Amino acid sequence: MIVTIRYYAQLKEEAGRAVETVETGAKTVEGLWAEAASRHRFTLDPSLIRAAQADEFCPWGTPLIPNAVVVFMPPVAGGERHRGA
Amino acid sequence: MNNQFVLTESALETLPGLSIPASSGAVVSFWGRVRDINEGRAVTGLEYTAYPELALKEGNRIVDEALGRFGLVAARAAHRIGTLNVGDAAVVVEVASGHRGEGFDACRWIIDEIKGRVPIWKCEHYEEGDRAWVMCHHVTTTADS
Repeated sequence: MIVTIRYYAQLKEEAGRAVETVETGAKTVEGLWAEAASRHRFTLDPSLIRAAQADEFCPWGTPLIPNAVVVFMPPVAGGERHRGA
Repeated sequence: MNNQFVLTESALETLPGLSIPASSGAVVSFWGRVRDINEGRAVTGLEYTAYPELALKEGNRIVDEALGRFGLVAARAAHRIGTLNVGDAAVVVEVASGHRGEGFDACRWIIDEIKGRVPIWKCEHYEEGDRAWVMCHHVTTTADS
């Protein structure tokens, strides 16, 4: 199926693009990430990445929807509590 | 969707303040500003970039949750995007409540949730001329389960 992927922040820089439309054999968001990570050699561990489909957060196991826009997000900017500060 | 959470490239001081109902006996505000130092490095400025569609949804959800959770009378929050200089306001949270206790608690809760949940990323620029994305960890919400 065909899907569009959007990247932000560090992922956008590592991919060298903000958006791409791809033909994928993946069935889930996780599978799509694996393909993208291999293609762009992303350095961030997938445990740090969140995904969205149709502009809502979604779990990794979410089935891909044909022609959907999937967004991969690196860790967000803030959160002192997460650093023990 | 309501508009209690705003993303803007303009100075936060130019936004309208919270409309404060007569039933509110306390107003608590938090202003987050750009520091000139972070983790020992001299910071000259930064850029905020957002995933706007989801950031607005999540920001408004946070304010809505706070209204119910803390029994607030009114609340708003706004976050800058784009290029900021040292000293610029990056985020503002303002809550009106019946009494001060729930107002302080709610203001702290809202800013913590914004920082952990709203898809906004910060790229710091340093005195040495380099730059780096500031990485913290996502908060896993029930939406992920």
